[in-house]
Amino acid sequence: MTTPSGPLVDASVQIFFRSDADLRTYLREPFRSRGYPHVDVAWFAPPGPRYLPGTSGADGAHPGSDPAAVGRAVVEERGFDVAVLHPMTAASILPDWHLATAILAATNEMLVERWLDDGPYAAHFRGTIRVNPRDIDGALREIERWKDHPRVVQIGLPMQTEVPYGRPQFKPLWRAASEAGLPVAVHIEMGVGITHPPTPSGITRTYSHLFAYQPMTFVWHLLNMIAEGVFHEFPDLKVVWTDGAADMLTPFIWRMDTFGRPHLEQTPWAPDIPSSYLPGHVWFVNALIDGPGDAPFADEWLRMTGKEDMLLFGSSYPAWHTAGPDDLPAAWTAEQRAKVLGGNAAELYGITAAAGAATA
Amino acid sequence: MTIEIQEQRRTGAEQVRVRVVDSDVHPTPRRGELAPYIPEPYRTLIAQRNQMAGNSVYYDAPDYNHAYAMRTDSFPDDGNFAGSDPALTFRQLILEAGSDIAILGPLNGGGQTDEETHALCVATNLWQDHHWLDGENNWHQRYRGSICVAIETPDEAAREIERWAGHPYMSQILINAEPRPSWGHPRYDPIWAAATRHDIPVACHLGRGQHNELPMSPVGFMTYNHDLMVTYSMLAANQVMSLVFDGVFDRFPTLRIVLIEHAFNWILPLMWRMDAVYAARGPENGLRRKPSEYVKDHIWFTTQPLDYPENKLELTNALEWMEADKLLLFSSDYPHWTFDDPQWVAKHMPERWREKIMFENAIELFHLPATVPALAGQKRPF
Repeated sequence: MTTPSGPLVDASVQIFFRSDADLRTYLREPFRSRGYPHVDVAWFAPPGPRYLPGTSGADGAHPGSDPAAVGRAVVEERGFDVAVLHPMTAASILPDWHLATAILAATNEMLVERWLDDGPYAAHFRGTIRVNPRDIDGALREIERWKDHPRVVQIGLPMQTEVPYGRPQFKPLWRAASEAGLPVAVHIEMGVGITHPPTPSGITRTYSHLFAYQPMTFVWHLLNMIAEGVFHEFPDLKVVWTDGAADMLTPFIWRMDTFGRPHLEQTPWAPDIPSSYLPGHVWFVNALIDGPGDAPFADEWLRMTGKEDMLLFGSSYPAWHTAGPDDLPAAWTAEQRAKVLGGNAAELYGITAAAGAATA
Repeated sequence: MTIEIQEQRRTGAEQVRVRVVDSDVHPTPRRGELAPYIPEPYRTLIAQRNQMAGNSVYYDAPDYNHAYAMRTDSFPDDGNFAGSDPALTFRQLILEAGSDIAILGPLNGGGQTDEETHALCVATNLWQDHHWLDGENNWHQRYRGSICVAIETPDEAAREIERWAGHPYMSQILINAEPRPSWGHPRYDPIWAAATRHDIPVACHLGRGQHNELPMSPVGFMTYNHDLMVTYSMLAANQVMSLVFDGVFDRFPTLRIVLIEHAFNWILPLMWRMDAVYAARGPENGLRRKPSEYVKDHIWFTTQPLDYPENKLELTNALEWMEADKLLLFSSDYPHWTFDDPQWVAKHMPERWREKIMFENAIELFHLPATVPALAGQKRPF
């Protein structure tokens, strides 16, 4: 099996507070006494384990909450040089946006304090700071607060929103992210909150259906952002869709290009053919159920639409659907495999081989 | 020889092989033509609401105020709307473009209530029978109709299917995809039961609802016709997953679904996703087969709108990989502005599957004749 010569990067490791009580120690009143959902709720949970066996800590600490244990698993056992951490919350779909901003700020303090500034694996970790798209001023404050931290590499937003990310209200976010030189990572928010149903036809009836469908939500955000001219106005904006489903990019951008030629007259603020806005703007984390599996044409499929330059390996550790390099299609070329397992992420996040190995 | 016969609107004895079945053609009533068939009290109610009512378009197709989302040459001289003249459709689509058989899919809109939607379906079926499928307008035997039913009222829908099943020119049942919940919900079982009882495929054309059934995405409303119409396939993708994971094809093993104008290239990666999640979590869903097997045996997609990527070979590859011969039916979408000409589509289909996609699949699916009365001067597109 070929591995890249540069750093091996796991672009999606999920981290958590140890417990709700733990989170509350980072909150001030009036938020500390409020009621809000746990990250793990029963609503459309997998009928089975939510996390890999053995990932809960002593005293029932939440999986993914112990930096040393995660470092051991991802760096020592799974062999990655660098892990991009995504703090998981149930906050950004709360009706009270003040409370949401407070929980996300607490989460960022926890991320930096426990994972990026301290611990035996801190040099291997890179962090995603979480901001609230329903509180633009608060989000800008949070970006300003953390953007210069050397191990903060991206800004995290929820997939579930009231309106698509092409709407003009989000422009200050894109401007701040561009100026900070930080990619924006969009991830499905946990918990429950004020979300539209996950499909245009309401709820799903099974977990499998939801699990396979919901990552494709990126299609609406991305196509709306293209048509609204977001990438035209912010040429330095980089977006990472972290729940996978990159395969859907090819048919939907074909459709958008084909249908787009006659429609472009309606959107002079996005004058170029839609697919031209993808390179340098759009990345995807690869997920367990993505890709054509063992198909002999997997290399050709990855080449189409330039996906080989957009895809980042991400394990989603410690979720039940944690993926490993062995889950990647066997028919990929050595070069494609090297790009996905680290080359693309190293370029996107500015990760050097030395950075990952610094304190190993 | 047959020219004189055509002028008399009569067919001759000569038969010709069907080479193109067009699975997406839109007839529309002339002004005032539908109303007499709408049952009361809805006829009066709808007429009252239509007084002083102007255009209600939003999410407008390109150059809407000139083309009204139609082929600009498809408006008849009498001032009625595109697709309202069976003779003009016959000339442009059957004779000039060379679609041998046209499956008509009327889109007469929904009502404000479920009962109104059902009443409009009842009217649309009567209107098709009297104005398109009758001896005068279907003298050439090239038109087939759709039994329009309101999925919002499954029992009435089933009764409407019973009413029209056996009609010599009704080829499919036509439902909307926008109403909630998704099709896997057992409340729709009476429709699938009636369809399979009579071995009639159930087709669905994309439409426009209102409010959260516009459709609305999980992240709110799109901004333009461009992003709305391209993401419309996500609604169809969800219906496919609902049919599969909610066990509809296990409950109705002979049910066949036709997705019209929902595009189709997305089904290739969607089959991979469904198979992968089935492999990861399969037993909890109780399915008897792999999801992609249900798709290839039960679900059909019409070719229009055909995508054409910069690299044509990519489309050819995608068609091979998805086994397009098991999935596709040719369609033109006449008289809409996005019309795909059969000659052009045929060129882009893999040669060894061209005949299956252009006509063989549809003949088998819709139980159509393999030959039809010959027409003088009809184009043979391939």
